[in-house]
Amino acid sequence: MPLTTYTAGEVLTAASLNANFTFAAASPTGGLVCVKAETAFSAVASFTADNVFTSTYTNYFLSLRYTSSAAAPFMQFQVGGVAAATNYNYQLISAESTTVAASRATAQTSALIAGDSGGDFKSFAYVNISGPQLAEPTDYISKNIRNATGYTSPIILDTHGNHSTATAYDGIKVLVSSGTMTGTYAIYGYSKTV
Amino acid sequence: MTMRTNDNGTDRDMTEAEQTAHEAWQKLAEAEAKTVAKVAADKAIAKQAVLDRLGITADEAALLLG
Repeated sequence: MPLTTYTAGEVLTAASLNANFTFAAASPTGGLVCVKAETAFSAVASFTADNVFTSTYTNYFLSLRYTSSAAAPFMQFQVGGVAAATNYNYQLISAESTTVAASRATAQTSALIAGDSGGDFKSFAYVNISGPQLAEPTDYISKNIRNATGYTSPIILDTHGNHSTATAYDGIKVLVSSGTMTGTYAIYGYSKTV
Repeated sequence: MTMRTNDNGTDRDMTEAEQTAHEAWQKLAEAEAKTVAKVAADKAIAKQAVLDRLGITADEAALLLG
């Protein structure tokens, strides 16, 4: 039902007002719009979110609060539940105490998005993803703070990269190369309207 | 040991096919990580060799380039 606009003298009914509330809730404008509600995962080697990338949004924001027991989280894009496992390229910069390091990885089977927390030390990453639902290469920028084996040793990991395959994806998989991870994630779309 | 996954919000055991695929990816990811680490290590060794030839420390080199 479309939004009802009232004019002076018209009777406002409860049904009409409720219909407008329903319309507004279903048609958010501006800012970030949650497309995958916060979801908990516990002691898993991977998690998947299907049907989150649509033509409604071009750019997306993935928030990830996690701990990992043995390895860093990576991501893969997927369509129809099938993950793409080629053509991930990324450049990273890490800062650990006074040491800053950089490296590049190309033609990978997945994209690094964060570092290992080395145990139950709550760490956080957010990943901006551009154009996963387009039949074009996908770009991403990941920012990560990991408290590696303790809260007095925070480490910065910035990873910027792409998935160069020109395929439209509808979902995402996050996975660790050994051990498990525990935490929560949510996915948002950047609104294209004001 | 059966691996676990979170499938769109539900924690569950991986299917046999999922676990096989995940284990295959793990091996590839491990090999990729080793390659990246070797490139970084080789670069560090090459950098140190240049510093040794010049007879200066990394901090002194940074001062020169700053």
